[in-house]
Amino acid sequence: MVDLFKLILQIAVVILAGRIGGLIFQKLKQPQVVGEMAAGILLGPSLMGWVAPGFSAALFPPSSLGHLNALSQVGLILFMFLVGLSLNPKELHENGHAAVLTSHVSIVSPFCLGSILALFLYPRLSDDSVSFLGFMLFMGAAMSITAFPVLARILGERNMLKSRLGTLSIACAAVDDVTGWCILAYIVFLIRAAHGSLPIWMTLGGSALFVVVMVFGVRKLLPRFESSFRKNGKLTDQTLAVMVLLVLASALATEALGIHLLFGAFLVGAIMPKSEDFIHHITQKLEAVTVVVLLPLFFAYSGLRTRIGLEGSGKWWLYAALVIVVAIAGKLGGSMFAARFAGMSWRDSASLGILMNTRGLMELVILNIGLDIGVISSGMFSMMVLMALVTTFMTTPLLHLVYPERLITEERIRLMPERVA
Amino acid sequence: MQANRLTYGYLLLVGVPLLVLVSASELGKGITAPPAVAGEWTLQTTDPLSCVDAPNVTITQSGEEVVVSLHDAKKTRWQGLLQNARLNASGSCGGKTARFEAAVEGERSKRILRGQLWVDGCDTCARASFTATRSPSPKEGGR
Repeated sequence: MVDLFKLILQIAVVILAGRIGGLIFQKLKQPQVVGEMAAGILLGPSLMGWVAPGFSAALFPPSSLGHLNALSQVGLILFMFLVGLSLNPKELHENGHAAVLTSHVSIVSPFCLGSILALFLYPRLSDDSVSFLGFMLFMGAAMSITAFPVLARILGERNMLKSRLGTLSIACAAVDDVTGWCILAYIVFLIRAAHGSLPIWMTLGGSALFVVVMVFGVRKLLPRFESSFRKNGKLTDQTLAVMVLLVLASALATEALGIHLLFGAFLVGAIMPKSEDFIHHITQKLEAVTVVVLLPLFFAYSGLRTRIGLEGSGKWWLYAALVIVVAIAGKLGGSMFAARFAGMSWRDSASLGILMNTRGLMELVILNIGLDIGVISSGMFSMMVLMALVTTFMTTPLLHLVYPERLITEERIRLMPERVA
Repeated sequence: MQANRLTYGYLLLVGVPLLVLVSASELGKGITAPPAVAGEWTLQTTDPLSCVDAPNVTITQSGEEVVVSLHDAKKTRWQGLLQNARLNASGSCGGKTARFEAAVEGERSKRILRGQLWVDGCDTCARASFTATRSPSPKEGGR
């Protein structure tokens, strides 16, 4: 039975905390989403449960978290659809060799370091219910993800979206995310297959068939949404409802096939027509409720599962520091050296590395999946959440340092005559 | 020239890490992790401690680190370590320190804990031997 009073109260507290966190972080020149993430963590045992355990237990009793999780998953489905929607394959082609090399290295390098770290952490932070291969692949995938939406927001706030660095980092992040999600789908498949919920051939064959149907069949029907948009000058409620139904059906299909709800939602977004005004219109329609109401619930739910520094001893901080250092070295270092190798200046290469190191919300999504399927322990989860926060938080100040405002203005002035011409 | 540079870059920055990745997965085959003990356990003991008033305990685990949670009013948590298939946890029990020591036995699906519970500095309390069995199919994510 749903305790409606408690649920509404939880939602109100979460939204309020998220807004306050967002405002504080905006004052610190951070994207609002970083503040919302931090607020979610602080609502959990890492702060509120530690400072006011009675109040925390009364407000978020374990029995009520299922409802909060269900709502946050609805938000994530819509969010992943929006992430897929904002991906544009053309951006990759336009950025040539530098993008290909940098994006591949920015996946392989953190993946490789994550795997080496897994050799050390597996006997210490995992158990024999998880295979080393599953643990290692998950560590690699979690280390190599880039928060595409947060990155776009940081670039937008700094007027860098149309700069060379901006388009290159967006293109690389897009490749990273698609690759990261494919690897994650494989890990989920691996883990669930081991538990025998569905025959392997059905998951594998079904997933392949589903992707083929979506990419070569459903994709051809999607321009009808755009035609309707052009005809009416907007998306009618009926059309939007059909679109959301398609997202939900796709999410259900991937869940039934034994991968995960979110892959289906992401896929529908990725194969939608990509004209700018159409995408902008859908985003406007869906983003407000998703970002303002539902995503903060996800941050809070993640925060309630995070116990920063509370589990174990000083070892916890040592392992957490190791995870953070390896994550930064793999992603920032790998992307930077690859970009330099591809002919970019040291400054541009370092900036690209800093941008690619932003993990943010996407990391939280992946980590929650990992914890749900049992491939990582709660201790490992907390360390990785801390890593996601640190790597996201450090992006803006480091970028200010390496690529100051002055250079952005200079580049805009330089590009202006070219655009007029 | 640039094409050559990119090819070398690709070999060095993508090829080498891929080789390392394969090597890591091979090396990892020889590594063992601690036995999984997370879940809901039912203690069968002849002489229970006063603070363990319910026969069930919940164990949460992060590798070697474990927390044994009692189902009492105070939601008492005993922190411990799992090393060499032996679980050692301790925590508060009526103002004194209680100890929970157990050997982890059996395969993953039929795992049992066999050990003893006692209170430090309590001469009148007997050591309680127990055998604990895990409730079937622990919930995903309960680790």
